[in-house]
Amino acid sequence: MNKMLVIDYHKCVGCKTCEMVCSLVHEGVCAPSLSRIRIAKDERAGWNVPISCAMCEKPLCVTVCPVGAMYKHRDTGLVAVDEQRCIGCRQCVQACPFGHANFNPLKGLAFKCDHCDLEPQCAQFCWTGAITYEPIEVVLTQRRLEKAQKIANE
Amino acid sequence: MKNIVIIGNGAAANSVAETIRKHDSQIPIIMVAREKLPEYSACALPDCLSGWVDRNQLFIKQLSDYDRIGIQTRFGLEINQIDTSKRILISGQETIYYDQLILATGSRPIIPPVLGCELPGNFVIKTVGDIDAILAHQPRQVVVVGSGNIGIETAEALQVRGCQVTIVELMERIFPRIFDEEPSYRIRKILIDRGIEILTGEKVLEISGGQRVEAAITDKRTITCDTVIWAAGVKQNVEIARSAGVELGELGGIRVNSRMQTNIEGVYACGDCIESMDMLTGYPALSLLWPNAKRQGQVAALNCLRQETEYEGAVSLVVEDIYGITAVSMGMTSGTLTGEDIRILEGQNNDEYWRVLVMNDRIMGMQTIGMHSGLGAVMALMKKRTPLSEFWQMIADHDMVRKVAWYLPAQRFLSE
Amino acid sequence: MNKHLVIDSAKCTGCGLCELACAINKTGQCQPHLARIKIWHEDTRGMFIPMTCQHCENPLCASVCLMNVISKDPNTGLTIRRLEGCIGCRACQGACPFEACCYDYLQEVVVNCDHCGGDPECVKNCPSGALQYKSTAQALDMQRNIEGARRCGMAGLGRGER
Repeated sequence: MNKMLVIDYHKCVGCKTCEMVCSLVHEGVCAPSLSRIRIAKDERAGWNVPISCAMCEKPLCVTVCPVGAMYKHRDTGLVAVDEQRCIGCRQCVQACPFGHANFNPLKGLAFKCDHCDLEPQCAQFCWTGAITYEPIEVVLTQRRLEKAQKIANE
Repeated sequence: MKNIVIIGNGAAANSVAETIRKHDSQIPIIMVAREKLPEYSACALPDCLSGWVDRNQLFIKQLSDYDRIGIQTRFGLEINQIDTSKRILISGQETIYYDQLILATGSRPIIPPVLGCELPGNFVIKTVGDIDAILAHQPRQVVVVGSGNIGIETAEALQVRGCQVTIVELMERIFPRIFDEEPSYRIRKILIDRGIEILTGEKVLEISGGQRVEAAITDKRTITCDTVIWAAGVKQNVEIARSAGVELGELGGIRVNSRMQTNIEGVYACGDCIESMDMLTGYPALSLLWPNAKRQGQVAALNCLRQETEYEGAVSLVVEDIYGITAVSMGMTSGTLTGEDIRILEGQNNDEYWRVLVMNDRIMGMQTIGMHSGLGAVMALMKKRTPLSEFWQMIADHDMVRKVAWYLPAQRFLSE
Repeated sequence: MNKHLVIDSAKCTGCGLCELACAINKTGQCQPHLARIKIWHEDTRGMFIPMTCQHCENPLCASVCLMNVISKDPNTGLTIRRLEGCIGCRACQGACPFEACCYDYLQEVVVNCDHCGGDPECVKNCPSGALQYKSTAQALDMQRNIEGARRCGMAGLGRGER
């Protein structure tokens, strides 16, 4: 897998446009509870953190699923739900350390981020640049540069 | 699509009908079946024989239920022929047109053509009518031929009723296809302690009697009896399908793809009558069990409705109650498991016994006696093909183990 | 919004009050073996895991039931059993990965948790808060907020709840 959803929560203002777009694209309605990406927020403390799937190498949702409905795609590296196998037991929901794996009570199925066929709409519509979709190497290089500059400026 | 016609009224057939109705409340469904009764659980027949279950408790549906969910029924109708080019079922003078056809014709018990097999007093266990007939016959001394699920359950049921029962089994142990030697032996002991006589490695050659059954003659002895129950295997009901040009598989069942489609367009098949694929090996298999029939029916129905669904394969789960002691067999047995790197994890604790078959570090089957905890966990691990090394890794990880809490009860079985 | 028994096993002390409360409420007997919730003890590690019916949308127990007595309640979303039809064969126990099916040896049928009609006794009697009754959405919101706080390095300054 090449790209990951890079989230810089410092830039997130909690507008939840990503939630609107995601649910619209996947479910046909603007319904935050059906969005794959969710914003965790604490208004008093003043932070907003977009939470999405990390596409873990050793996904807990895959390990915990009792019927093998959760799986990691060999080629793309995406972690996905096989809706035909899902029995709606919500173990993935409980297992994901990020609270990402979600559950649609109307369908009775788990759902999760699928990178929108490798063109994530949340990244497309995020106007602050809090969500971007970049190759991992680019992200790492960027971070190293930023850190180096920070040290150089001190 | 104009209609969906189902031949059958068993587990698979009803699973098809119910699944269709769940997704489409309008499309006409016609169920055609030989027996005039509404759906009942054939698996519970021995329990009815013992008196544990009332006759009316057997029925899963009443005739009015079909009407209520919009299913037209033609019960008591025997289909003689299927014309797949005209898409009609023919029964005598009557024809039924089908747009999509589901074959769920099931299986029937085999009675080997031995002398005397037609005498009054010979029975099989397949329908409610069989149970009625056996009870009306008032059996006292019974020979049960065969020691699979049906044979053993029937033997227990009749013993509980006060009959003297002898089981005659061709193979060297009871439950030959379901339990390995050791668990089979333990179950045998339970049955013998209850006064059931068990003869293994023995074959019934003839049933003797004048007006009715008087004795069963094996290759070793003559057993006086008034009743013979044939529980020596089943034959799949595929004759009508074969005549219509539906292809059969190498094992004799109707051949279907992973969408339950036969070689003929618009014709699906599911349940006991098909040859399915074993989930664990990927090879063709005959796994004539209730849960498989239900799942196959569901898959056939979804594909019929153009909701493409792949069948993941048949898996065996057998749960037997032997005089209050639960004996479970899931997956493969030593007889069916071939390959390298096979390990057997066996253990016991007081009255509990377990035996896990492992190949290439993956669970391929398990047999237990007297255990109730952790079975579903092992079943799930088996179906997921989780390597045991990975299982133990998660168990050992103090931070992660709570996340996979359902793994924990399986530990007992999987320790070396 | 349908609620579920949300279990935080890290808080479970293995006291067994949930089992007793359940058994007494459902059967009148102070007998943990009759409880619809069971505590799995990992004594060597001091770990206790409550296990009960997850009310799966497409339950594995229903697929093996020989009498078709298991179904989903369209109103509550719970997995329910028509007990009159149960013959006590215990096939469902062999299929459920969550130890949800309980054999009620008094009635000689298999039963499962029914959320006590919407006010679960086990939750009310849990002294440590390991058992909570909330909707999946609520549980997820809480989980995400904890994660968000952790990422911001401000764990503890969240809502003060865990």
